[in-house]
Amino acid sequence: MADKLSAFLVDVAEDPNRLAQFSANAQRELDRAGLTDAQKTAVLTRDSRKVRAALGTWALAANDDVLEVPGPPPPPPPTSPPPRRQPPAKRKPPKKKRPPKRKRPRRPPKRPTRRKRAPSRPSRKKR
Amino acid sequence: MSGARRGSLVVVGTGISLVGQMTLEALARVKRADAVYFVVTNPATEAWIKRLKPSAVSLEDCYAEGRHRAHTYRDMADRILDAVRAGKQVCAVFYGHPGVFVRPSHDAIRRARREGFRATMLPGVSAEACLFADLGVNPGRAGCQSFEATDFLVFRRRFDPGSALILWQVGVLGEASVRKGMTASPDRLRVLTNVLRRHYPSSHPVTIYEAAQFPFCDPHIKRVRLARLPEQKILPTMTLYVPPRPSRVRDRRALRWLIGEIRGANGATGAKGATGAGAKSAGGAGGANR
Ligand SMILES: C[S@@+](CC[C@H](N)C(=O)[O-])C[C@H]1O[C@@H](n2cnc3c(N)ncnc32)[C@H](O)[C@@H]1O
Repeated sequence: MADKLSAFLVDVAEDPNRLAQFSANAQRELDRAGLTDAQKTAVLTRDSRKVRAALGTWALAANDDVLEVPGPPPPPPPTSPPPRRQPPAKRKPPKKKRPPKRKRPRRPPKRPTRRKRAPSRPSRKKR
Repeated sequence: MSGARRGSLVVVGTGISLVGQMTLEALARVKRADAVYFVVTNPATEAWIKRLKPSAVSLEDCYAEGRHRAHTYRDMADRILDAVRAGKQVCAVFYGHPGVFVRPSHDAIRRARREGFRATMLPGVSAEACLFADLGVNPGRAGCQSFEATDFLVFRRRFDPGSALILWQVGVLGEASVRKGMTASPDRLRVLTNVLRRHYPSSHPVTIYEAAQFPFCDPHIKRVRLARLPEQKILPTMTLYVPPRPSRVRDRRALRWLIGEIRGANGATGAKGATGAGAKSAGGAGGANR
């Protein structure tokens, strides 16, 4: 039975004329498709969830990772901070300026840029 | 050269709404493939894929209750790769955008390439793309950050509340497996809400969003105050949208710097600051499409 509903939905979705006919007179199109009353009612709600339910599925293709958390509050990350700190730590003595550079997106032109921009200001004064 | 055909893989997406959101290119690839495998969310989409390719095979049987997800995904990728190794032109179909929050698609591509096969992914219409359209969100306006909800909490992701925030998979917050009829647990939603309240006032509006899956259906859009989030019924197919906080502080130094650059670029022809690159970036900043 759900096959009939699937076929009806695909027909309507595939063919703009069918979709227009459905929009104009949904009841007639549903009668023609030979759907059950429950299926017709679901389609008439125009609610994806109800249509999905009438299709008989729970509509979830969970195909991405979800981390399992036993209960609130979530544990703090044990692994995330070290990778961030590692590169600067290795090069600490010669590149102390690195951490501020990484903060640039928040405060873009702070220290390095100020100095660079200094020459451009006199040029404005010249005007 | 032997006449043996070398296998290949293309991964495509169905979009969220039935039929209409699959690109013409993806459609052609499904029709042309020797073997089609798919993971979709409802029997109507399955019926449609089978209409396009009667021999298409669902990978749904890789899921089993209580089974570790990593095994499920590895099985999916294994089955796709077996066909590629057998010399077939394989098309794998996933719902939405096939590369957005989909692990087996990326795994299959990586493994196929490692084995020397040609493997590509075509973009599709994701839930986020539907959200932008249905909620009238322009990510270019204040920026937009997207996180998997559990990852957002567990790794204490840093984000800017002055930009839009999109949280995926809130309906399965902290869950390793998915059950029929499940919704986000109120306790876990409370944890999420508490984290968000450090950055937004409790009256801040948030939107629980579910895109329409059939062409004649409307999206579900429910706006509530952040403080009321734990009471909401959030399904696995929903996405949480948190609009940016209105006050955004301008960095006056950056502004002066940019204005200086633009003036330099537009200024006297002899001005040293008016380099080609500067002129280009000034033009870009004034893009009319934002
Ligand atoms: C495993 S991901 C798959 C995403 C999919 N590949 C895409 O491109 O949108 C599942 C998550 O996508 C989002 N999602 C899926 N279907 C949705 C829909 N109809 N409306 C809103 N969000 C949806 C939800 O956040 C859900 O938890």
